Amino acid sequence: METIKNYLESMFRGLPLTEKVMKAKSELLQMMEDKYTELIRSGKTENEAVGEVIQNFGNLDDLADDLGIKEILYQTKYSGVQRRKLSFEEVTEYLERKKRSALMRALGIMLFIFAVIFPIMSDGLGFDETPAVVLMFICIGIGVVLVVGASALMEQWRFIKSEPCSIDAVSIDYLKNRNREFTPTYSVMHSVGILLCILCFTPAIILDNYGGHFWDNLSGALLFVFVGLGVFCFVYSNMIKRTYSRLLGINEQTDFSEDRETGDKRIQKVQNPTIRSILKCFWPVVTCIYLCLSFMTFQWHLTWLTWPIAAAIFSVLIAFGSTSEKKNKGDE
Amino acid sequence: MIGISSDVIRGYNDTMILYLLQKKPSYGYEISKDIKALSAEKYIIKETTLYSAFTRMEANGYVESYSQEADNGKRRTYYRITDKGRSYYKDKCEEWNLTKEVVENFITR
Repeated sequence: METIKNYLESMFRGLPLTEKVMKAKSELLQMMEDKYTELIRSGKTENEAVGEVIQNFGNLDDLADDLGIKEILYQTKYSGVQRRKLSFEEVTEYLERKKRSALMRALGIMLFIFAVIFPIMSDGLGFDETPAVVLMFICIGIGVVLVVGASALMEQWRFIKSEPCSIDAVSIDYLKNRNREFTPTYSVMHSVGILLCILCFTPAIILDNYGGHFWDNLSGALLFVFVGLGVFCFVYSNMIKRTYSRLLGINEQTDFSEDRETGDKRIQKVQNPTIRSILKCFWPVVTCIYLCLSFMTFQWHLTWLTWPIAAAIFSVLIAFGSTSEKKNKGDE
Repeated sequence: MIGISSDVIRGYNDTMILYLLQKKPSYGYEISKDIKALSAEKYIIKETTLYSAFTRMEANGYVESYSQEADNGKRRTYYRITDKGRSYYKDKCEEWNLTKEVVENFITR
């Protein structure tokens, strides 16, 4: 009997718990229970009885109209598009993959940021700078491996972004639950991420009182620890959240250009091709400039200014790109 | 063996249920059991189909449902036919006779 209850439970999972749905569920259970009891009484084994009851249960499609759950059972709005159906197993596997990939990418990016801690601290401690620089590049190397590995992990799932796909009601229900469960984690990680980035100057402010060369460097290093952890929280939580919303919206998705979701959406809005290509390689270039400046001058307490300046330039470029786009539209 | 096409029989699930309810009020499993028996086990109605028919007919006023304690002490939903249901049943019988008459002309023996 447990099997039958579980079966019914799984059939009804994901449906809104309206009065009609609840009633249907209890009525169906009643019928199945009656049938099961009688089959057992007539000498059938437990397995035979369960098999027969489930075999003749029918299909919830029969009830779709009566229960007002039609939209839920037939999620696919753009039925004209031939969609590749993703099974529940595929969806769960994709989620697991994506989780690992997100973790790897977030760790990789964190390592990029942590890498600069080595030279800073070796300077602060008065060590030779060569091993520190070597360590830094090792750290960046591991980061690159992780980030590249993260994309490689998703290679076989690329079609989810580029091809029309659809998922069934069971998967949607599962995703909704997972998404709901993840929301508190997301909020916490997101705010911790922001908080860490805002508070990254606090060690500098506190340690400023000590004034020594070592303390200066320590505060610099701590800044990167804060930013690194913050960015980790940010990247990871955003990637997971975006995975859920993409999958949940997959049945309605009609735009399959691959780079739509990747990268900064503001960049996609910029029409001017020159500005857009500048923006696309903006942050790697800034990172490069920052590292070059820092290692050539070893003025870490000044070179961090690259970042706020870069951010300002970035915003100006976007604003510029967007206004010129509007002007173009106005001309037409 | 060729089974019954659910598409064809769908329009007559109501007729079968109403026929049984005319004799006495009944509940889900009993009706499905009786349909199976009367059709000499050639037609087994699915639970969802049966429930769908109940809700639809209740909404149309052909049947009424009420809760009653069964022999085993459990509460069960019983259905009974209404006057509207009886006249609907008569219409369906006439409709079937006509359908049968028409289709019959095109069946080779």
